Amino acid sequence: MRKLSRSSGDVGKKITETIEAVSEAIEDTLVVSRKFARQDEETLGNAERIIDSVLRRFSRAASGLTESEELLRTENNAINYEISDVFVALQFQDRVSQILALVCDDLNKLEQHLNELKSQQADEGSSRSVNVEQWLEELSKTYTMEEQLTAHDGTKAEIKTDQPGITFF
Amino acid sequence: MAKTILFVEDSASVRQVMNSTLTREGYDVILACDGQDALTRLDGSKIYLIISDVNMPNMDGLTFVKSAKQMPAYKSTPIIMLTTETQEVKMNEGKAADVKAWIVKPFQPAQLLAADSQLIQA
Repeated sequence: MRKLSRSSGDVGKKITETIEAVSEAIEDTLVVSRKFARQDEETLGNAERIIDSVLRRFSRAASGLTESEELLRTENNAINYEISDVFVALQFQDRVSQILALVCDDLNKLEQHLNELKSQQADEGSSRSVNVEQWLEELSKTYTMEEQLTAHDGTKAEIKTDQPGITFF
Repeated sequence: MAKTILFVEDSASVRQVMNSTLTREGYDVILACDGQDALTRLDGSKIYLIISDVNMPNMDGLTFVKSAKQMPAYKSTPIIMLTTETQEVKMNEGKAADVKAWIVKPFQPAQLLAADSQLIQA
């Protein structure tokens, strides 16, 4: 009986020791868990701060890009307008060049005609003159532009820049 | 695939500006400096639109257009004439030669591009 009682006391003692050991282990685990939870919280906080900072930088960069795009678009439009203006000016130059070519041709023709009259005058002894009206009439037949016809009778020709331009058939 | 346009103009500067304008719009551009030069470019390959000046040395635009229209490959190719001519007689000559549009210079590149897309889609 005494033996049984001593054995029971030993078992009780062992159970108490085991419970204490388990409690200590649980306590340690809790400490470690709390430490990890704190670390996780800090890591999460850091990550949020980093993401926030990256997003803010990205937003600034995107806004800068939008501004640059707008600027480029505006400059592109301005360049297009300038190209259009230059193109129109080139066409005016083309028209002037055509008119001058016609004037030069006519002056050459007149020179030739005057030389012929001069030689006829020398041969026949009679004086002949250029039929100015007929000459101008012939010249006006070679005109291809409205401005030439207007300028022909001495009116100042103004080139219309707002004419409709396109006729579809 | 880019659509091909034949651009015939004796003024080198106008040719250059229109070449870059049309290329920027996605077209393939063949350039010719007069009607005679343009005829040598017509080798039977598909051309979606011909744009030609009227007054040019060697061969004028209307003579070129009439010759091009004789070729089976270009019989139905739409043609735009560019000109300083405002005389109705010339315009009617163009119409009789199956020209689809008559543009009086000076014109803005945007006007020509609008006419191009209208005629190419038609």
